[in-house]
Amino acid sequence: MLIEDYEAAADGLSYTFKLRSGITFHDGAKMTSADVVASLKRWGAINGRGKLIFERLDAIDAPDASTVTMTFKGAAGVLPSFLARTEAFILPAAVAEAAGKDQLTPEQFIGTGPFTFEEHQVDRYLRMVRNDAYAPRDEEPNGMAGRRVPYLDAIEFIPVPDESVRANGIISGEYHFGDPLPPDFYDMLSSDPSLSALVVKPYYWYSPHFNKSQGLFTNQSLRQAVQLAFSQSEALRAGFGREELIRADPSVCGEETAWYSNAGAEAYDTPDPERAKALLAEGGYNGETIRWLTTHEYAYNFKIADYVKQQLEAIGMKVELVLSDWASLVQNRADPTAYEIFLTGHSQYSHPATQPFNDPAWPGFWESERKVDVVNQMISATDDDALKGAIDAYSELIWEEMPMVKVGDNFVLRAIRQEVKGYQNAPDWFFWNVGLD
Amino acid sequence: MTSYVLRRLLATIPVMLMVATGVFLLLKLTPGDPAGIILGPDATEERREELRDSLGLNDPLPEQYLRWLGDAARGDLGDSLFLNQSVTSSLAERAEPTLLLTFFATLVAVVVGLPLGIIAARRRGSWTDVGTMGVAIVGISMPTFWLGLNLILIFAVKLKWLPVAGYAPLSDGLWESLRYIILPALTLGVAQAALLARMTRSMMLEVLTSDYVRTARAKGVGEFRVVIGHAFRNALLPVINVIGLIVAALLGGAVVTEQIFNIPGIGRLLIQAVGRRDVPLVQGTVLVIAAIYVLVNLVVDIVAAALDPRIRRA
Repeated sequence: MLIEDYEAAADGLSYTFKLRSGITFHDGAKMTSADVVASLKRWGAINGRGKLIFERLDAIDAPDASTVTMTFKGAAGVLPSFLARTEAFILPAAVAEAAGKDQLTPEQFIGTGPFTFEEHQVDRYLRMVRNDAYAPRDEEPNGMAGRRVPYLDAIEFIPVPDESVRANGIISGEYHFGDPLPPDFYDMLSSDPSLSALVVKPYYWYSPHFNKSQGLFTNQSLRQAVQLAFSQSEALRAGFGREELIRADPSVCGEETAWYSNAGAEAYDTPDPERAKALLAEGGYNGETIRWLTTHEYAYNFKIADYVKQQLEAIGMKVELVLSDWASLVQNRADPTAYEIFLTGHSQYSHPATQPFNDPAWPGFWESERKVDVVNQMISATDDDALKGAIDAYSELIWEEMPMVKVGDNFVLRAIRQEVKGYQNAPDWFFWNVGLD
Repeated sequence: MTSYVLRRLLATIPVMLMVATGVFLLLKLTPGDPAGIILGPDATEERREELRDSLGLNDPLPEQYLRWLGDAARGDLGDSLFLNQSVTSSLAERAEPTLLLTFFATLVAVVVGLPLGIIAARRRGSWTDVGTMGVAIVGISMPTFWLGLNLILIFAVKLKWLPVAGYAPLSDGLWESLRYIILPALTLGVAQAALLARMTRSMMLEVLTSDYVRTARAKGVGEFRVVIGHAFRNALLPVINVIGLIVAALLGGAVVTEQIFNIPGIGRLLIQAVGRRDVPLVQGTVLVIAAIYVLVNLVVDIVAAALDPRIRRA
């Protein structure tokens, strides 16, 4: 959004960004390259993607007020796609330096975007108002890229804890947009002419993760046995119900993204209890109890666990569902002595190199030299073919080493009222180029 | 009377101390790591340890306890781990919606419950009595969330008379604020009205059969004066106790109602704080709720003592 143009060296080792002129911050100050350098340094210190970039960064400099250069020790072909994300936002240098690794305070919410932060009343609303000084790009809008025009005077984000009240509020016209809405309201929302029900694809995928640091599932055959013991699509249905909101698919990234790959995933959703039993015997399984951490706080979490438990018991495994609230589950899953399996969801529209489970310290503890290699390949790839090759290798590795078993995709349900015009159904919503009738 | 009030005030100190200790221990014994929740699922163990250190969660328990108790005694309940504000100011912010909701729900309870109870008692055994008490049973048994959702469906979604949910502070104007508070106050008030009606009825029945009521009737006092002037005044004491309990319970936050109607009150604050393991906020909120209970009980006792000399002499 903020650059006029950029040049990338063919080897992916250096980048030169030319900034747009005439960009002002919400406080009226002019944006310069010093602000960009300070903001990206903060991004490199606190954000997961930023850290991946800064690990291989050699230097970031501002040769003049409208130019930023970045040079790398190892190729960083992924840089443009990471910088395009909202989290690599630009603040005034003084704010970025003062905030450091700390969370920004409301006084520090000074950006360059089409809407300005006005007020946050905890649990009541967060209010953004139009930035009249905003200078849009000239290109036609394309997803989040291109021209952004703030038409609305203000946007209020209102937390509504009860999901059926949230849906009713849209039906009654109290709110213009709602996210997420309960799947039970799908029929009611889609049959109402005053609004549109939106199914957001891609969104999230879900998988039981194995504890690979200690216990039974350090053994790869046992992990494969679990995968073959149950139908992934049935588990998905058990967890989420509505057909409109699910998709049985083995890829880490949704098919709508450029990062889709089902390489090596032939075993997905081909349950084979006999083969699973053979793998159990091969892996030396001896009736040990599998502790599966789950919670009623998210209905799907328990429903999938409960379904898979029955399937595992059918091939002779012993499974104990360990129930707690989500907060305790998050604590317990960090403790490698506490469990064998837990289930969680992951974004399917993020770059695969940034999935949290790639980090061997993340619960599940996936240590693998081959994984380090392919993740590096994905980050350094400077052209589409190299990236595609790396992502295929990553997918193959996941289906071979089986750090988790992907059950499938779940899409979120949203709704928007007819009087709202120009809204685009993207995974992360935005309200520029949007107006009210 | 003064010595009675003083005695009662002193007695609240050990109660508050016990509550404070109980709350502290209970939370320390509950599993769940606030650092893990603040930092989100993707945080490293190292970063979590760092944060636990800076929050003082790694200090020995007695040290944490004394520090918290000392601060609380000075009115400093610490800082919320999530809200970027102190516990006292987040409680102060939530006080207005909870006070308003309590006031109007109690109003519904009193305006509906008392007359129904009196009428039912007066017409004991009649269809009016059976009918009112039947409705009261339904009122008590109805789950709040069910009643709340149905009221929303009827008055907000279908009829569009009132907003679905939300809250407008009094500073936005009384009517604006009332529009938001009517449905939740009804939701909460119905169950309390039913409870109050049943209590009032049984108290009135006891009094209506007593000798002085018969005497009053015998000397030709009008029926209205008998029921309201003689009987109801004497049935009032236990009824005031029940109203006190209702007020205390509502001030402590109506979790379900606040959640459904999206009212930023004390109940919702507490439930969120528990879910996030925002320990200082939970401790502070429970302590304040306990203080409210103790205080309301104190007020009820003092009112009762003022109404009935037998109590203050005891």
